[in-house]
Amino acid sequence: MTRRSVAGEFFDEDAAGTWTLVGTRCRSCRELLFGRTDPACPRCAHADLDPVTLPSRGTVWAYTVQRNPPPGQRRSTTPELPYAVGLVELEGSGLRVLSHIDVPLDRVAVGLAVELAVRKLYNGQDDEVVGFAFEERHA
Amino acid sequence: MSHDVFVAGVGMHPFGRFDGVTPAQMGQAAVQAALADARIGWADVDAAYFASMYLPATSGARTLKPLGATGIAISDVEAACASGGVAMKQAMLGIQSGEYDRVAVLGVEKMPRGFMDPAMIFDSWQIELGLAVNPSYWAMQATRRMETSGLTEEQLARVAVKNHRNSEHNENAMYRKVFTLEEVLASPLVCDPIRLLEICAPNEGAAAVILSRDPGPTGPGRPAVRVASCTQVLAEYAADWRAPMHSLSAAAAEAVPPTTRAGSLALAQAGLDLDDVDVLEVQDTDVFSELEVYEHLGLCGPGEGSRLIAEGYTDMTGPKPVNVSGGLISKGEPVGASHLGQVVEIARQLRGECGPRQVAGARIGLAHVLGAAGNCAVTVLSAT
Repeated sequence: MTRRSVAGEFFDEDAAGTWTLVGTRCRSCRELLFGRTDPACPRCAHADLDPVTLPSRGTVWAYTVQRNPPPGQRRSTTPELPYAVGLVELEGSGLRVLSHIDVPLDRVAVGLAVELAVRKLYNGQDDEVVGFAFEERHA
Repeated sequence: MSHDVFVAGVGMHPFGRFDGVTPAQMGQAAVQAALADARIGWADVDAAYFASMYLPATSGARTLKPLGATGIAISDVEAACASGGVAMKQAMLGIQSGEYDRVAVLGVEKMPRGFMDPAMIFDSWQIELGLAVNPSYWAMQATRRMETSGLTEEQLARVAVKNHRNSEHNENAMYRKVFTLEEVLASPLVCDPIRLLEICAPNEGAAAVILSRDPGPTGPGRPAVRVASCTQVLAEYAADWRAPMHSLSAAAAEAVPPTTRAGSLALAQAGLDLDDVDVLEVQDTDVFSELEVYEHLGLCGPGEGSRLIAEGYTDMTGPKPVNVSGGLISKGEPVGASHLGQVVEIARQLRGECGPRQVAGARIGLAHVLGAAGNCAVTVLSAT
């Protein structure tokens, strides 16, 4: 079954079939931005943003543990409670991305080495809708 | 030279849960109490601003027009948790400009139980990924502080103990129960390390203020209360952790937090220093938020908020009492009404009307709110 991103402007598959987080870099201030939806650089207001692929490795910068079902209209049945959510600082970038940190709760900590993973969220009409998470990276 | 603006009257409908009571009924009760306090009638009001986040279009007109169809401008305003501050500011500007003599400022809210509806402020993919839980942001910041600079669960819990203790004598609070440190620490985790007794509940209620070019009723035991300043800012790029968030830049390190900007601007416009402020009501969405406000307003240096709470510096009897009403942790947070509830509390503190929770000799007070998208408002009142 073909896989489709839940948010192609943030998480996408390249021609070689590799899933990555995607973003833009400001041509003026060089700020790195998660996602490709900004009409201009939110830091300096410059209009020229170049598409980039973001690093898939990082470390946990901050986190919490969700103890209650997440609110809102959802089709996805993952992640299962309780689960960790945190900001992952992407390697060498200074960009911190909010994500499910899919590790046992006794492992989650500031500084934990993690890497990007694809997660199935739900079945579409004739495809599978996927999102992203980070899981523990072992050297 | 701009005109002085006074708080001529204040009124509240309690914050809590009121099944069967409509938002219009709560708003009307609060405004009528404020009009009576100002000893004026609705026909004396030249304009009205109505703050809410969850109520539908024309709620202001539908709440206030039944008091008398006088044909005045009634404008609904919204800026998330800072909605009431925006209404205060617009009313103040209307009087300062010379256009109006008296303006009614009303905040009303009636929110569903549980977590706030994420569709109002998050993208659908964030909701699908389970990332749209509103209190997560402050909790993440607290965890980082615990693991990198020694903040403890006990220090966090002390904020809840203080605010719940202060609420005992506030007839307008949702929760008025005193809790021990052990009881707070035994309450269930919501978003680690934040617990149920350490977080504010969305709820219902209304608060109203009559702003006026004249001081309103004054005399022995009732000083005039002047609006010394009212400021509103939005967080700069990457300066804020509030929802909705999908990423945070390391450039956050260079940005000034919205609380610092709104607070310092408000004090500068009032010609005051933080040392001059006798009593504060601040955004305690959760216990960590309150510690962060201490630091961002300048009550202490970065990372020192936990020391202030441990020393009792912000207790009712401490040098800088914070959230003597019980704060949002005890009152709940009816978003559109929360700042005006703070303003009502500060005005009553400056008039010396607060009974067992009165801060002795309070002459200057500051109210602060901060919410979604980094909306922040600060109002400073002074007794004259």
